Amino acid sequence: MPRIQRYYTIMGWIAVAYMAVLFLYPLLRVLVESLTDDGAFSFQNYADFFAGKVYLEVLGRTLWISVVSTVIALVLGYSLAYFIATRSARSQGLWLMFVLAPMFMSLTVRLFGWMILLGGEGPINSFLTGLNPDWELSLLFNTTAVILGIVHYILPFAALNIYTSLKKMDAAVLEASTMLGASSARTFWRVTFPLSLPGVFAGASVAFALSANTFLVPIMLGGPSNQMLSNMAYDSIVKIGNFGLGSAISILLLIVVVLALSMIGRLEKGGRHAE
Amino acid sequence: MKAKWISLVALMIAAVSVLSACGGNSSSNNGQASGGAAQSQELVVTSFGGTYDEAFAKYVIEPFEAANPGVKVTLAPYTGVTKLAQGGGEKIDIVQLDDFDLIEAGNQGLLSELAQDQFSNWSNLYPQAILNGNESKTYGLVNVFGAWGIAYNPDKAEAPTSWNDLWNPEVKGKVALMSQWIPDILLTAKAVGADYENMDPVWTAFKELTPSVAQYYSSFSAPESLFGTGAVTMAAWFDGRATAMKEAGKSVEFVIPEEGGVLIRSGLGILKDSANQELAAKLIDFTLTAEAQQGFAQDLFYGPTNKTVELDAELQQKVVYGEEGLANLLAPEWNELLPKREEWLTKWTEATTR
Repeated sequence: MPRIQRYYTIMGWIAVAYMAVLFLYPLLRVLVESLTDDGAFSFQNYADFFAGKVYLEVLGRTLWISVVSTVIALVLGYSLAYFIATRSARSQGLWLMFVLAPMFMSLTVRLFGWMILLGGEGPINSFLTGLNPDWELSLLFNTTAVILGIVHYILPFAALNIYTSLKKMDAAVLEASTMLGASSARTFWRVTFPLSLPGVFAGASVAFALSANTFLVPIMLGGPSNQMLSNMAYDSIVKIGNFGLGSAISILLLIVVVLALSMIGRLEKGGRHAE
Repeated sequence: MKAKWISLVALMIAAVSVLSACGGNSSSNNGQASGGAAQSQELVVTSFGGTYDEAFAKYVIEPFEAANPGVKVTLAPYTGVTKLAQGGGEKIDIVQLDDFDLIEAGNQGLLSELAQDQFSNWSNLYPQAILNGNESKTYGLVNVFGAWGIAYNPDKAEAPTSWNDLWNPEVKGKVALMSQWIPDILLTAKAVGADYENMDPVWTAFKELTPSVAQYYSSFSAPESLFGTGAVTMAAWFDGRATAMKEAGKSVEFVIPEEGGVLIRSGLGILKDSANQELAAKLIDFTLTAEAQQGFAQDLFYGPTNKTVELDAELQQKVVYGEEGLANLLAPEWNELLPKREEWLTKWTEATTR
């Protein structure tokens, strides 16, 4: 084996060992915990999950909010990525910094910013009540606020993935399309967009996984009817002390996310066949 | 192929032995520290953060270190019972927790039993300040009292008189209660006249209340920003934080409803595995002195748990003070309530998460 390859093989195995010890092992523990009740093997925790209607309801809500947030983030993210990819090479770096900058700050602080912005005495409401005192809107603690917060959180991930695939595109292909007489709209829909799909799917996967596991946004911007499944898992384990149920919730959330991601993956493959 | 497996196994063994070596090191360090009292000793105390830590440093750590040369007290982040039970207390000597958590941790066998002769201030404490677990074993001593009641914005709402005022349509959408919080459940039980054996009316009441709740908040400090941004006008909260906010010039008032309030207690316990049992007891004794408790009342508006503390008339009105102050506050019987906790909180979650 050439030296460099051996080096990478060893590094690879170290990474695998790291994953096994620090990621797979805890995950396995959670799985075992979810299948344990009073020290014996049992499906009781899963039975509790499906018996208490509230958990299924929250699961449905989590999926719904994640799908909506992901779609919004993809539309916004695509526009943003396209905008940046078509700037001059020199200014692209600056624009990317602009997209990334919020991620340098803790999400808690950014969400607190949203609380101030949307609050009863925030700028939006001050403006409205200035026009008419009865126009105060409740902008906080509802589904819209939660979706707004999640989109804010996942947008950079979606935009960067799409940007990367737009950048990888061969300029000659676009040139060919234009030279063969296609309008710019036709070039975009028949050439640019299909070629950027891998980035869209990658962005969708990351955005969906992050949304479905959101914990902080519902706590800060949501009301009682906006709690998501991660919040219920946390409450079960940390506040109520029911490890089994909390673990079962976590495992079910994981399964649902994996299923959704494999669906996205299948969509991507299906799209390739059509090409 | 075979060689690959061998190298993988070797790596795993290496990783595991490194991890266990780290664990081994720290415990042997602890052992050394307990050996020589004259050498420099460290005492690790978990705390709540923010202004509480400042007061704790000023009124407890400074005088304690001055009285015990060579001892260094370090504050560690808040560590709950769940984490302690999972072995998260390995490097901690003293935990500061709410009353129910101290009792729970004690009953789980995580804390040392405390004896009266270790504490010079014990006999001056109110009976509510001594936290007993099962079989009347004492696991924690309370250094600050607070009152759980209703805080409201006087510019936007009439002063509430009853716990039921949280259900008032005038404050619809502008109410906050704490999430998974037994004191809120106890006061609701009192307001609807439910007894602890049949709590169904309480869950019904929470179902009715939920549409008018802006947020079930998760941390004691959350109402500060909720009131600050005008997101809520009424919240179940406790006196210390509300008074501090009012003193800072914000429109917030605090009342104890006619049903009474709940006595909020925070105290200290010693971890069973700590190598510094004696020293830890000494530090807890320092939190119970009249001087320290006066400081906590002045700076944070927490009520003293030591009967000998004298506060000036103005401050007496702002904190839980004396027998009268304690009289209209319910001190929950946690040993009876803790077994119901899991069921109650699950029911609460199901009633409020719709």
